[in-house]
Parts: sequence; structure tokens; C-alpha cells
Amino acid sequence: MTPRPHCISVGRRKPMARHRSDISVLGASSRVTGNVRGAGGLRVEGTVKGDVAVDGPVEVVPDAIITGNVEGESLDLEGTLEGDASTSGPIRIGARATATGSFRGAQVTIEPGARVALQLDQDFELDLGPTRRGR
Amino acid sequence: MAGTVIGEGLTIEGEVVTEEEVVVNGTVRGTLSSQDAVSVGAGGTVEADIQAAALSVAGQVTGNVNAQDRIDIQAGGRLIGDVKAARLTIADGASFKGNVDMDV
Repeated sequence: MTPRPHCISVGRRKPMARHRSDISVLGASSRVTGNVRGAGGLRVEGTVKGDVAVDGPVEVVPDAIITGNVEGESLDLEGTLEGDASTSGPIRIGARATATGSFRGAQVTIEPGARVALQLDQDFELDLGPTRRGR
Repeated sequence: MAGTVIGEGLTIEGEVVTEEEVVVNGTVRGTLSSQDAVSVGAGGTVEADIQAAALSVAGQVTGNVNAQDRIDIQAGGRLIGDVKAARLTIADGASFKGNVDMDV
């Protein structure tokens, strides 16, 4: 029997950010060459060549590409990120994502199927289960 | 809903090129090019040359504008720059400074 793939998840658990009304969207045909920064969340459907720094959640949909560093409250990656990511909250690297760089977040989840070449830069706790606790 | 929405508080410094409608409620510095309409909201600021199918300005635009169809400067809107468009409307309460080329 083939073992069922599991996602890799490290770090302290925090809930994904809730949807906010002040979210900006860079549409599927949009190409931004330059830096994006400011308040609120950001949904990238197109291409960004430059750094992204916002104080809200960042979502990168399938087929979207960011070539640059990303800072945000959280990162939900299903597209491609070539650069470093730093968040105060969780980072999810989805099954269709491609990620290369150094990632730091409160929790990093890498789902089966994701193509990653990452350096994870964070503290994390291993849950050894109830039988090993207290030894 | 527009394809690209630059929300209040967001700033893009560089070049934005798209085929979709763009709504700017934040800030764009550089160049902005869309094959569809561009709307600059009341709180929006564009310090860039704009190429678009149409432009509606309720906020502030500083830069030259080339619109294939029309440019509407709404009440409270402010546009400083040279404009080229088939049609131009400047509402009561709007501000405009620049040259107009309507290709007559």
C-alpha cells in the first residue's frame, strides 16, 4: 500500500487571516514592474517583478508569478514565488505552487505536490504525541 | 468588479500594464497602461502617464493621459497634464490644467 502523502507543517499554529474588505487585486493580465507596498491585503493573479510589502494577507493564485521578496501578514501561495517571504502569520504553500527562497512565518505548511527549494528560517516545536510527552 | 483594484493605502511604484479595467483608490507612481477603462477614485492618486481606453478621475492625476475614447474629470477630481482623447468632460467642481488634443 502506498503511503498517503502528508503535508509538512512547522511552527506555531495560527489561524489563516480572515477575508478583509481592503484587499487589492492585481488581475490576471496585469504585469507590475516595480514595488508594491502599503496597507491592506493583496491578491496577485498576474505578474509582479519587484518586492511586495503589505500589512495584510497576501494571496498568489495559480499561474500568478512574483519575482521578488514578499512581506505580509500571511501568505497563501498557489502560484510561483521566486524570492524570500516573511510573514507575521502563517504561510501556506499549496499543491500547485512553486517556491524558491527563504521563508519565515509563524507557521509554514507545504502541501503535497508543491515544488519547493526553500530555506525555512524559523523556530518550531515538534509534537511528539501524548505517549512521549513528560518523559 | 474590475480586474485590477489598487486599494486605499496601497502604493505601486513602477510600471503597471494590463488588459483589464483598473480602479485606483490608492497610489500609482510610474506608468499605467490598460486596454480597458481606468478609474481613479476620490481617494486615489496617480503620478504617472496613463494610457487607457477611457479614464474617469474623481481623485488626483498628475501626468499625461492618452485615452482612446474619453476622459471624464468628475467633481472634486483634479488632473494636471496634457490629455489626448476623442471626448473630454470636466464637471463643475473639477480641476484641470494642461493641453487638450482632441484630434480634430
